[in-house]
Amino acid sequence: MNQIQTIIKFIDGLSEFTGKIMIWLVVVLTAVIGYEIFSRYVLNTPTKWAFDISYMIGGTFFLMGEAWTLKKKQHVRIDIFYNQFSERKRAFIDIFFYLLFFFPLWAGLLYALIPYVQFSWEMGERSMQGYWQPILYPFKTIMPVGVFLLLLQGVAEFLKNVVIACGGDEIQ
Amino acid sequence: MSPEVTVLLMFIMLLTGIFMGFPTAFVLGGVSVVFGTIFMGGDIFGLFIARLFGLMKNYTLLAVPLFLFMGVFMEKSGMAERLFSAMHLLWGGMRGGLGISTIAISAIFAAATGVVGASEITIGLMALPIMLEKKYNTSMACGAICAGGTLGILIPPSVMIIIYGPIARISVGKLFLGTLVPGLLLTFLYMLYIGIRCYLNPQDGPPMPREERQVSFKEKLRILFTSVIPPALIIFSVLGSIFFGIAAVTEAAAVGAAASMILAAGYGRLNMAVVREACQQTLTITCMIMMIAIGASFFSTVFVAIGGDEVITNLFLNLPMGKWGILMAIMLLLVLCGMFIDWMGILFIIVPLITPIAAKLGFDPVWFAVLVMVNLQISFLTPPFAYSIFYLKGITPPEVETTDIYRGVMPFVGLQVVTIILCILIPGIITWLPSHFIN
Repeated sequence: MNQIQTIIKFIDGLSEFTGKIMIWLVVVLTAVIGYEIFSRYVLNTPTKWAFDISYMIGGTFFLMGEAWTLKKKQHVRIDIFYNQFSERKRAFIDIFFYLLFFFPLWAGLLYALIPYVQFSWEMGERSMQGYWQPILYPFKTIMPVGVFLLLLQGVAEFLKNVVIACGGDEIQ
Repeated sequence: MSPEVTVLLMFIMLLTGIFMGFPTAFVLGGVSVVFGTIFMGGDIFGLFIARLFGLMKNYTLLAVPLFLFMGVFMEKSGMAERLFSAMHLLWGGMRGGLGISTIAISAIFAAATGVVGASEITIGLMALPIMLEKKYNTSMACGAICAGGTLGILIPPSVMIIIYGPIARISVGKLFLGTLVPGLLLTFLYMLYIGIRCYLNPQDGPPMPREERQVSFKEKLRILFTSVIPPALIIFSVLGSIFFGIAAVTEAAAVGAAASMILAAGYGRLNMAVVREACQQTLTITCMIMMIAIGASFFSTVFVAIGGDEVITNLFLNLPMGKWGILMAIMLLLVLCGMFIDWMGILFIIVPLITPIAAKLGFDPVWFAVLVMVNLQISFLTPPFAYSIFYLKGITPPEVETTDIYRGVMPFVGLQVVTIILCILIPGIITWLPSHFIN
């Protein structure tokens, strides 16, 4: 039991740590786009890089934040019935759906993402859009990293539910 | 298995998952992985990766976190309190004046924030205690706050419109223009309703005594310049630069975020803790929305691959009731779904299915999209699953009964239905602005 608690605490901490860094990216995003507008309209020299950098920041911002959002239970549920169930019943429902829906999707995606990103690195893949055509593989690497963190947080949530289903108290 | 049976099974699984209370986003993704692997094997993950990467690269969707960020600062700047006291002076002498000003502030706040939750709570916390103290009719006061707060998702710039654009492949700028007049029409109807009701029954909304609203002209000017003009300027510059084609939606959103940060600083409300809190809220809401977007895009990939879109289109087109009858059926379906599912679920699941139907029937895409979004206003106010009522319930004093709120929102739902009918009878309400601004 203690080991399970340690695992959960570690994963929760990891998600929170990542999330608390990622939140600042929205400030960076505002600044990057703001700078682009400034240099286009005031300096009359639009940047080559602002477009690509913006979507890279935006994509990283949300995908890397998903794990923490899951930890904070912020993914919307339609809880008209869910709220009326007992705590243990809710835990059983979550366990069932984690096994049926959550793990197959995110584990499968992670499994498919690894060769996909590996290929991108080997190709030295560049973006075909715009003028700057930056390298894409670092940005694509965010996908397996973000999905891995989400999957890991899913494991933690799953374990929390198992503890409740076995009659234990909720682990905060 | 015929496509019809598969579609039916997919929806049964989807609804079971959603109503058992598993997060909508993960149910959508889960159903797609189950059916995707059955029909396409492991290849399905290649398609999922392409969809996920597409969402991460989507430039328009970057406006979602930026507008959320702008909204949080608007909320934290204390703008609402200032606006409320200004509106107080303006309308206070009228019967129902506080209710009317609540709607007016909600509309302004709607343009400043783009979501429902935070603005409704901010306004509710100020307006409800005063209205109750001044012996306003409780259910009318609650209804006004719920209906007003719901405008947040309709009046541009709004997060719902930014998401709707890419789903239906319509320019977000056009949709902003299209929703503006219906949004203002709704606002006007709400105010008119409160005004007439309180004029006929003064006990529902007694006017404020004269001594409480006696302010010098100079003071009035000062309030105008410090509390109404700055936020109005930000809103107009953000919307104006989109409408006149000066800036893309995403760029306007970034400017709006920076400007609202400056506004908060000007009101002396900006510090590190506020910025961190704003960033955190932006991250959480963005992640929540984007996860549904991911799940829904996986779902639609599988759904289209098994021919589900054709099944649904044929189902509607074969209804024996003509073009307008089918439109009514779609509108009723949306209302029904809105009672049980939140707007994001409807947007991501239903809109991709009904958009091609509307196109086949020859409806103007912008007109139809705005009609759907006006309709989604209803989903916030209709129990059992009514977001706006949940938000208000969280902040009402114990003497306000839930039945008061339910009774209070009903007239406003009626006005929403009236607006939908008006938009159908006079399509120009929606289409006039977009056709005159953007080609």
